[in-house]
This record gives sequence, structure tokens and C-alpha cells, in this order.
Amino acid sequence: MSTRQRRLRAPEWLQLDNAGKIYPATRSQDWMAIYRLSVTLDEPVDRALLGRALQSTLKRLPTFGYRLRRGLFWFYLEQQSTQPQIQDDAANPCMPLSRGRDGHHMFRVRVHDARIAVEIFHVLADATGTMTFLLTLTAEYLRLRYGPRIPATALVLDLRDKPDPSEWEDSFPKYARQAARPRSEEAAYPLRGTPAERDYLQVVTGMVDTAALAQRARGYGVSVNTYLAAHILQALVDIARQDKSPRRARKPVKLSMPVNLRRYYPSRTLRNFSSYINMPIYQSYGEYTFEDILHQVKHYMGYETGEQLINARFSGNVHAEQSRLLRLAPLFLKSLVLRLMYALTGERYFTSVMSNLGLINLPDGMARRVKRMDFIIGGGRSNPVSIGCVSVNGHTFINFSKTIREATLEQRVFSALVRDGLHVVVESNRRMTG
Amino acid sequence: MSYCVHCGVELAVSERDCPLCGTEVVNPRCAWERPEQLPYPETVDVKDAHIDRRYARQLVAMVMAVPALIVLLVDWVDGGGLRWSPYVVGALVLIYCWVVVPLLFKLSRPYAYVAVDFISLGAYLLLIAAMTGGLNWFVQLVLPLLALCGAALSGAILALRRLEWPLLDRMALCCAILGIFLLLLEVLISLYAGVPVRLAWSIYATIPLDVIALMMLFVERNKRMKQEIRKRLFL
Ligand SMILES: [Zn+2]
Repeated sequence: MSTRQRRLRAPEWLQLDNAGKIYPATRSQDWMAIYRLSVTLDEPVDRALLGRALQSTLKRLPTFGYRLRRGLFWFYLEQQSTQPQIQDDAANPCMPLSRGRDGHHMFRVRVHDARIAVEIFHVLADATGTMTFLLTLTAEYLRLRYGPRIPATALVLDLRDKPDPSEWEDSFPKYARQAARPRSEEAAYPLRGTPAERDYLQVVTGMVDTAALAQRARGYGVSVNTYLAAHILQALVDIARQDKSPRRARKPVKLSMPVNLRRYYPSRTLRNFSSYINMPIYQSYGEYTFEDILHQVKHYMGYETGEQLINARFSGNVHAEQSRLLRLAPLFLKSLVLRLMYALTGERYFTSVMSNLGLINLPDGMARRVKRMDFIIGGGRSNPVSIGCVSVNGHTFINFSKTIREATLEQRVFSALVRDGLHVVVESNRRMTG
Repeated sequence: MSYCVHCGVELAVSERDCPLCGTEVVNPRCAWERPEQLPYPETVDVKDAHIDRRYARQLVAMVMAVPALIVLLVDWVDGGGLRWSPYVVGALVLIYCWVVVPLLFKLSRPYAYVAVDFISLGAYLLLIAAMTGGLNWFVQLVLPLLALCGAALSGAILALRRLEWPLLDRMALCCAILGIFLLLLEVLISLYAGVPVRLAWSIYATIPLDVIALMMLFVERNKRMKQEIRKRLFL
């Protein structure tokens, strides 16, 4: 397909979606909201073929190739004709995009042995959108490498289809309603530690059998998500209770959990369309057993994930964006305000974040070749530990990514899983010299 | 297959000790061996240098633009013309060039800062000259003087930046540049004053400078003397 035809299919430029608007303002050379999804195949990856697959994938999912530009009032995304090179993977994932290495691209594709990883700036898409991008790319790579075409599914798009405007719509204003919930919240207990080596995001991965995990969760009468969240909250509670600063220890620990809004609305967008719920445990009010925490997570999340409450939460952001005053402010002023707001409130409302992408169902032909998937959330700006989970082919991969040396949180979580009778294999990105 | 005795987790083949608690795994049946393929490569991504200064630059420019606009407005409304406000605005621009540029811009070479400083100073003096009707004075004295100072300063920077040269050689070159600068300065002043060019005071300043420069060059090339001086003067 010629560039001209492609240009006709995809818009020349796009406004940022409602959730994406915060990221360029808070971005700096030092920090950027980046996350990473990867697929590990059963054989080393052929880079030349992957490059070709990327080219076709970008034609089908054009908005992933866009660059970020500053307008007078807002940032926007603009079509560009270049395609990123396939890069070597690095020991420290999720570093900010670099002009030199990444040009103007908002994502990078990297290869290490049999693993294909996409590291992406949150301004383009949320994890569901990027998962579609990565799996479509992988399916095309597998077709080029082994022949048969992978059948299309919800997460694997058919490259012979034309891109569709519904795939890059901003679904937030479309589904927002008039009423909004107040956004202010209680500050959360802040996790602190010794800063790790500069510019080195440490990753500790725990691998668990999905069926065994599901069985444990069922034993408690909860979902895997609730079960994992409860273990993390339990560990956070224990950490907070041992904190020597009474001022800090008084604050509730809160685990932020993203919610995929496509579950509620018939949106086909591949850009940002998720919200979040900050699950609190008030550890200073008394002792909590694991069952107490499970119970509270189950019911609090059940309550908060009601469509009405979810809607009222993101509707507030949509109203804020549409306010006349904010819209008319020049970009640099807006950026200053957003930066300040993010610095003051952004990460204060949660102690850590756990994003569970759940079970990824791969089409036949692809499942055979995929050994593993990982979801790594880049370091927070101030919160030092984030957790990304994904399950594929019978294994669940729990990635702790952190900017502090202490491994207290993941140690407690994984030990608790072991005590619960699960078999956990642990791996890290530490450099094994000598 | 090894387990951490403390945490109870199994360690992947890549892990020599437990990533959770640091406990070293001693498995008498199978000592840790570095696997052929580690989960992550050894190379480390490095971040770009800071260009976060952009926000600071915009902010400072905005903060400085406010008083500048107010001054212009007040002057205009008050007297129906621009009488004194250009001095103030010019001074603000000068401050921006002299203070904000070195602090918040990252120019590739130090000469660029020298150029910015001298051009902005020249422009400000030109403004004053134009407003007071003293263009003659500007062209005959100020402009050559600024050019001379800028050239001398650039020369000194050039000399000092040659880090591969011995220190004394660099100092000697600086002294020589200063000497030439003083000579040219006297020539300039004589020309402006309209008196015939006859070097007087600059010679007395330049000769000792040249002598010092020659001494430095000599000492640098005389190993034993350098040794001797170092011995006597060490701290
Ligand atoms: Zn251990």
C-alpha cells in the first residue's frame, strides 16, 4: 500500500485522548510514564523479519507510529513516515525514550534472544492497546517466519483489514456523563527505600502455575486478581506497621489497580481507555488477618467497579479537560499546572500499583510458539515499586519493577504465595558478573 | 534446581543468590554456573542529557516579559512615546542574555556564550547611543573595543581549553594574549582621542607579561628546574 493511501486511511494528526493528556506534561528527560510488554518465543528472533513484520503492523495500526508535537494549546500526535529500528534489549528496561536512539517514536521494539519486547510511552495507548499491537506484530512475525497465517482474534488483528477510525477514537468523552465524583482522596502510605543504582529499573519476576493460583484463589472464594491484590496489600500493611515514622504509618496503604473500561463499553479503541481504583487498607485502625484483607478487597472492588462509580470517576477528568479556562490556557502554562498537580497529588493517592492483564488467550498456532509473556511497569515518579501481571499458556508472570534496593515487598509477597502452597520460580535482571 | 532456604522460592537458573533476600544458594549437588543466556543482556540503556531546561527558560522569559510590558505601557501612556522604557527593557534583555543563557541554555561551545554576551552588550550600547544621538562614539570606540575584548576572551578560552597542553604553556599563551590585548587597547584609545599612535603604558605592561610567558615556557621545558620548584613550593 502506498503512503498516500495510508495517509487517507489514518488521520494526519490526532488530539491526545483524555487520559493521555497528563503524560507529556509530566514527562522529562529523567522520567516518563513507560511500560513494557514482551512475548518470549520458542526460538531466537530473526530481526530482519521482525523489522518487516513491524512495517506491516504499523500500516494496520498506524497511530502507534505517530510522534508527539506541541501545539499552542495542547500536545498532539502527528503522523510520521519513519519506522523505528529493531533495537537490542537492555539490562534496564523502561528507560525514557531518547532522541538519539528512538528518534521521534513513542515506542521501541527490542529483541533479546527469543523475546520481543515493546516499550511504550503511555501517551499512545494503554496496556490493552499495546497488547494488541504486540500480539499483531508477533503473529505477523510468526507468519513471515513459519508460513501459516495466525487466525485473527480480539487481540490479534488481521493485517489485511483496513485500519478503522474506531480504533483511534478517544472513548472517554464518548461515554462520559454529566455527573462526576470528587477526585480528592486521602494520601496513601508512601513506600520508601534506599535508591537503587541510578537509571536502573530493577525487575524481579515470580512465575507461578496459573491453574494452581486459580485453585488457591477459588479456595478463598475470590478471583486471582483479588487474591494477588490481597497478598500485596498484606505485605504493604506489614511494612507500614513496622515504619518508624508514626506520621507515615498512620496513612492507609493503597494499591492502585487499573480497570479496563472496554469491559464496560463497546469501545474498540486501541488508545488509552482505562481508569483505576485505589484500594485502601487502614492498617492503623487495627489488626488485619489475611482473610480480613481478602474480604475487604473483594467487596470494596466489587462496589467500586460498578459501572456508575467507574463512569463518574472518569467523567470528572473529561469535564476538567473540557473546561473553557483550561482549554484557552497556552500549552506551557497548562503543562506547568499539570506538572505541579501531578507532583502534588499524582502518586500520593496510592502506595503501589498492580496491573493485572489477566489470562491472554492466544490463537492456535501462536500459543504453541509463545513460552512466556511479561508486563513491566516503568518506575513511578515517586512511588518506588510497581507490579505487572500477565498469564499465558498456563503460567502467571508477576513482575515487580522498582527503583529501590530493598526487596521487602516482593519477598513478603512471594514467600506468602509459597506458604500458601504455591510453587514460585524467581528471576531478576541483576547483572551476574563474575 | 535450587531453592532459597529463607524464602522458599525456586531460583531461576540465572540467579546465583536469592533476588528477594540475598541469601546465597549453596547447593552441594549443583554449583551455580552462569547460564549461556541470561534473561536480560548486560548492556545498560543510558538516559539522554537534560533538556528539561526548556520549561525553566519559558518561565523566566515570561516572568521577565511582564515587567518589560508594564514599563513600556506606562512610558507610552504617560508621555505618549518611548522615552526611558527602552533602557529598562534593554537591561532586562541584557540580564536574560548574561544570566539566563549561561544557566539555562546548553550551548555546544563556550565561544557561543561569549558571542551572546558581547553581541547583547553591543546591542544595548547601540540602543543607548541611538537614543542619545551618540552613534559616532559607538562606532569609533565601543564597537572596536567590544570586538577586541571578545577576541581576547575567546583566545584565552581557546588557550585554557587545550587540556592536552601543559598547564604552563597555556598560562604563557594567556599572558601573551593579554599583552597583545593591552597593546591594541592603547592603539584604539589613541585613535579615538585623535592623537598620533605612540605606544607608551601598554609597552610597560606587555614586556613583563611577555617575560613571564617566556619564563613559563622555559620552566615547562626544563625538567630539573620544574622539579626544583615543585620541591620548594609543595604544600
Ligand atoms: Zn530468599
